[in-house]
Amino acid sequence: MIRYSSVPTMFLILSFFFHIAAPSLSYAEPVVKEIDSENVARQLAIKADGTYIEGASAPVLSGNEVALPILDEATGEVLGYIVADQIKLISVLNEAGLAEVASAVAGVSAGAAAGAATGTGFALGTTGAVAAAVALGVGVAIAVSSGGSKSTPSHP
Amino acid sequence: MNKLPAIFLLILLSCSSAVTSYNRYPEQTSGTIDAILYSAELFFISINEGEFKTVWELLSDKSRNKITEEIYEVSRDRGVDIEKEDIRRNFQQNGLIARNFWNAARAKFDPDMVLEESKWDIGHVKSNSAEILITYKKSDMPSKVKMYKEEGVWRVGLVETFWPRRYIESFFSFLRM
Repeated sequence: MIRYSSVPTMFLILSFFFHIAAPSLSYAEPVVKEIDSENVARQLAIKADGTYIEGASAPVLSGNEVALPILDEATGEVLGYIVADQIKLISVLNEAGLAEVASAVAGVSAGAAAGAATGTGFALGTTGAVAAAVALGVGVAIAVSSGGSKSTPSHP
Repeated sequence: MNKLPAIFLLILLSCSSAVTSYNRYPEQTSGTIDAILYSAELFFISINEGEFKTVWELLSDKSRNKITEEIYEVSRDRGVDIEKEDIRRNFQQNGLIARNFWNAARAKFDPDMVLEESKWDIGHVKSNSAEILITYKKSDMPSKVKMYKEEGVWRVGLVETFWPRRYIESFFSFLRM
């Protein structure tokens, strides 16, 4: 499983297939249209003021960049990555008619915020929310370790 | 006529009824408690195992609406042409948006801290709502996870339980600026 350490080094688990685009959202049933070739991925990268990096090795990211993997449809092999600023990439994907992919990129931050709130909630307890927020601030990281006890029938 | 025996009998019958009711109540609550705990446990297990369709199905209506709305707003802010219904359908079908949302959430929250490292107790139980008190081993205070019975199924109020923390933290973060 890929874990995100922070937004600047965020890797998206998006499968943007080599010969298949994200399904259109304008129809009741998903409509899959073919895209031309790897050149399309390169063009998207250029339009987003980013780069297309060939190969399966995950690229190093900086700032607000994201890496969108391009997979071979038949084998699932990673052919390369579109590396670009998140905001610009979202805009380019949207303009290319790939709204689902664009929204998936945009929604990652919402997911991260949701996970952080849940983790912090459990770590600090919701009954002491206000006091804990004042004492520890925003975005407290949760340390996970082993052990624990359970007292309910579902946790004997 | 001496009314004392009649009064005594009336009191005896009332007590008997109360005892009978009291004895019946735990049997009904026990089955309900099991259902509540099962849903909550399955929710966190499903997050852990990447069964995001099940996760969505076990979310309360309010939680689903709020998550949909948040993704819609952040998408529209960035110029994405998408509607709320498209996002909701994506979550129902475990599409691209859903997978990325839940994987990003899972990167910030390890369900094992709830499943393996916390103590679970049942809080209040009503006909359509309940609370599970989950105390993480390193925490002094429990989290009161809110559960709601909707369409006959007990569902997790993720937003109802944890989103107020986000608003409080944002408020204090703003004050510290």
